Amino acid sequence: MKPLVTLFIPAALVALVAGLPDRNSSAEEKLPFRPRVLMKPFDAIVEVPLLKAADVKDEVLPNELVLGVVVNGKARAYPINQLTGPIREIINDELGGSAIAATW
Amino acid sequence: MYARKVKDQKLTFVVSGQLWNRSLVMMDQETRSLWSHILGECVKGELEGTELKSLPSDMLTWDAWKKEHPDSTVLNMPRTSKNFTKEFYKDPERFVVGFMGQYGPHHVAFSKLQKSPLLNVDARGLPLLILSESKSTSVRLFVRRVGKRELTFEPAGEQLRDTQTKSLWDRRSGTAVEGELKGTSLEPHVGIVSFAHAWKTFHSESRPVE
Repeated sequence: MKPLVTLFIPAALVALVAGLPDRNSSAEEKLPFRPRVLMKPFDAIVEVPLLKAADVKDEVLPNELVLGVVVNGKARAYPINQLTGPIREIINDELGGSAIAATW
Repeated sequence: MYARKVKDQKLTFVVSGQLWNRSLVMMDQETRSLWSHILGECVKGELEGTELKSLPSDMLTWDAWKKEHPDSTVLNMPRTSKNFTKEFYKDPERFVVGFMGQYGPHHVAFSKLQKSPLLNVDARGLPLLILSESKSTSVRLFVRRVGKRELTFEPAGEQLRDTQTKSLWDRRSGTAVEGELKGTSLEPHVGIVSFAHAWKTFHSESRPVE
C-alpha cells in the first residue's frame, strides 16, 4: 500500500512537471516609476455635456472614432477627437448607475 | 475605460501633469495618489498597488456605434483634435490590441486583425474569440467558453456559428440567437487599442497572438 503522503503533491510542483505556467513565476518585471513632471495637475472634468445619438448633426462625423461603452444596458460614446490633450484626457462620468472614467 | 470606485470610495481622476515613459499619469483628487493610465494601477501614494477595474469598450466609427446603439448618448464638447478618424489606422503596424490573459499580457497586431476578422485564440489557457471589422475598426474580445464547454467559432454570413453546437451567434453582442445555446451570451473581455511601442514598453513579456 502506498503511503498517503504521496497524494499531497504541491500544486506548484504539478504545474512544473506538467509544464504549465505558474502565475507568480511569470509576473512581469515592474518598470521603476520615474515620471517626468511637466505641468501642475489639471482640473477634474465632472460636468459631462451629452447629446442623444438621434440629435447629433455635425458635432460628431460618421467616420470619427469613438470609444463606446455599455454599462447596465446604457450605451455612451466618447469621440476620441474630444478626448485628447491634457485638458481633456479623463472624463469623470456616471453611466448605468456606475461611476466610470472615460479615458483612452 | 475604468470603473472609478475603489474599495467603496468613488475617485475623481485628473491629468497629473506627469508622464511616465511618455504615458499619461493620472491622479485622484481624494488621496492624491498617482495612477498609471496604461496599467490601470496605482503606482504611488496611499492606494499604491491598487488596480482599477477595466471596462470592456470598443473604439470604432461613430456611424457603426450609432447603428448598433441608436439610443446611445454621446459626449458633446468642443473638439481638441481632428486626427481620430478611420484614417488614424492608415499605418496599422503601429497599433496592437493588448489584453491580459490568465498568466500575463498578450497582444495582437492590428495588421493581423485586418487580415483575420475572426480569431479563435488560446491565451495560455484563456480561450478567446477576437472579432474585428475593418469598415468600422471595431475590435471585440469574448471568452469563448460557456460553462465548462469551450467553443470555437467560424463565420456564418453576417453571423457566427460555433462548431460544437452549430448555434448561431450575433457577432457584435456575442449572444446566441439560434440553436441549442440561444439566449446565451459570451463574456466580453477587455482589450485595449494601444500604440505597439507603448504596449511593449509597459508589458515587455507580452506574447503575440499567433
